[in-house]
Amino acid sequence: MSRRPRVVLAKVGLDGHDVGVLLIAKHLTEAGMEVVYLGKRNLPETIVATAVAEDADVVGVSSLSGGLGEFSVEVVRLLAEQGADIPVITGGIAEDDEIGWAIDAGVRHHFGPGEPIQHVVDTFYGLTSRA
Amino acid sequence: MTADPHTGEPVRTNDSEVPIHRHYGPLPAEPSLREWITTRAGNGPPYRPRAMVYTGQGSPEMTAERVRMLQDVGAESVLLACDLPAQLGFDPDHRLARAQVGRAGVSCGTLDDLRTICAPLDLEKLDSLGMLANSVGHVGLPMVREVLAERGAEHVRLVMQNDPLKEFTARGTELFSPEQAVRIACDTVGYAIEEGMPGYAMAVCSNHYDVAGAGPVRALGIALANGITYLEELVRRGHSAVEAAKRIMLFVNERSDLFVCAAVFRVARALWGEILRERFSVRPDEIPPVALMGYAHGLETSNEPLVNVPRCTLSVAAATLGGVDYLCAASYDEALRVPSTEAAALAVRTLRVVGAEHGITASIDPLAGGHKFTDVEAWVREQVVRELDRIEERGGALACLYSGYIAELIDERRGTRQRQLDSGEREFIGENTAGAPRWQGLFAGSTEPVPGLDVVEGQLRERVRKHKEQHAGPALDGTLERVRLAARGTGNLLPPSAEALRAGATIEQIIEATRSGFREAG
Repeated sequence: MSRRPRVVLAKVGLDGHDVGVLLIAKHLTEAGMEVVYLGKRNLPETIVATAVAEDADVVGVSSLSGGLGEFSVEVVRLLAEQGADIPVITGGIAEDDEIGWAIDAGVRHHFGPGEPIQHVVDTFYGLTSRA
Repeated sequence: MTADPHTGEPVRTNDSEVPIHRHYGPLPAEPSLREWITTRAGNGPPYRPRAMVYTGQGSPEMTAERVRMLQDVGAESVLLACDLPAQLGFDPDHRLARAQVGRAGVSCGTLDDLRTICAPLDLEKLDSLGMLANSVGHVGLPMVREVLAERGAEHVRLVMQNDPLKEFTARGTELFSPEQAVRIACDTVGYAIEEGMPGYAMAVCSNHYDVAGAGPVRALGIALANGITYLEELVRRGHSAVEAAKRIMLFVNERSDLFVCAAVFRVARALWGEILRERFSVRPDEIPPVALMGYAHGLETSNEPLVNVPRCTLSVAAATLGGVDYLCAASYDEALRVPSTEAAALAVRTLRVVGAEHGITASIDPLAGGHKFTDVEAWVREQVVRELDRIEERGGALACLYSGYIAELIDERRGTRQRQLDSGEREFIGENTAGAPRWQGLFAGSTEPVPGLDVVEGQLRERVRKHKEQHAGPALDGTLERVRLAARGTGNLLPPSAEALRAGATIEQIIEATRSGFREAG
């Protein structure tokens, strides 16, 4: 029996701005996805352990105050080490070159401020293996 | 000095030498407004705020260079923007701090760091100094005090950001429970009272509720409710409401309408005085001058940064007309990143220009009595009082934080600005109207990311490791033990925290000791 697509969302580093990630969680849930939100101040290994344990389809990490590229790339690397083929999406604020090297390192998409919500939802949905 | 504002020679420093008086019309009935006008008017124009800078990035050395330059071009008050690790009690070598050290602010986690930052400041000329320490006030304030004392500059006033309640719903850097947070904040104010420190050990903040989505009017209602909570706790501890109020400033904001902005500031001044009078039984003639701080912003674009200069200039004028006492101005590139040197310097010059030119500051309270302003102000006041009453009816700020009511208040209004812009009912030049993408380069200004912050972070990690090695030992452990014991009991956290800082403690060590004590207390 198929289950709903499952997404793990988390704030990384020390950034406490969670309005955006909570809004995304709400819209993903309304679109039929199951969302596991880890809250603020997560380390990459916590996110990866949760994503594996929850058999997540997509991981979304958020930061508006630095560290987005560094932490998200580590999430990608740790997932790969565990053999978990789970795409990672980033959301928040970072300099263009930081986003560029995160994408080069395997982050699948980045969404910044002002991104249409439906586009974000569609992108998450499109990446879920059970969609 | 108190004086009749209607006496004194008018100024004629305009091209036709038109006489401009210190004050026009009758004095207001509200005692706080009346006291403000008579006190300030006695000193004569300009009636301008102190030029404040909110600044910091990278290493303490980098920020020292920045604050000195800003003082040279006109800054009178320095509020240090600390990086997220310092705001949350993490040292630069903590894993959660990676890629965030020195990014959103300066890395300042030891007394040595603040000594370095302040080294080039001319403290004789500086009005005030403070730092962002909303959840770590018991570390931030002793740092500032120690540096001022070492430099023989105890006359420099405090301007501490030390309002933790807003962090839970508006900003997200909460560290402890709301009750523990109130305790730390009030320990900080209590220490400033007992030590007779001038200035403000707390800035009760509506600004961040506004930014989080509540809008400036509702935000002021929530902030005043928080202010009541802090005052009640300080009075419960035995401090007089007057002494407590002397150490508290209000951080108010409005960034969309000159008249509404001025009204919000004037209403904040009046209502804070009314709260002291009616809820804390302070006699009208004993109410200390209400200090208002602001941060002038506008609708800021990242596409045409230089166009933000006129927006912020208007915002500076609005807050000034409303009677703000301490004012920061947004740099034109703040929508992009931590401000560049050029943008930060121009923001200070903007403050000084508005403070001296075009007659904005020639009279005090110049909008009062105008038909439009009177109506706008009455509406703002009514709404703020209504919001404050709703919170009080629900048990006050702490109860409403726990019940989720504060978060609901913010959520309800979030998106108002975006809706207005999307619909086109509100114009945003260069964005939803008058767009000229081909010419955006004309408005680029001078702004680039500061290079090499990753290298700086590595150096700061290494520096703090060495610092901890050098200071490790029984002397430091003893001071941290006293922090833990204070946290476990009810003693003021600041004396042992100050002692720990002097012994070389880092912010993370003090916060860990605090957390241990809180945990043991249960």
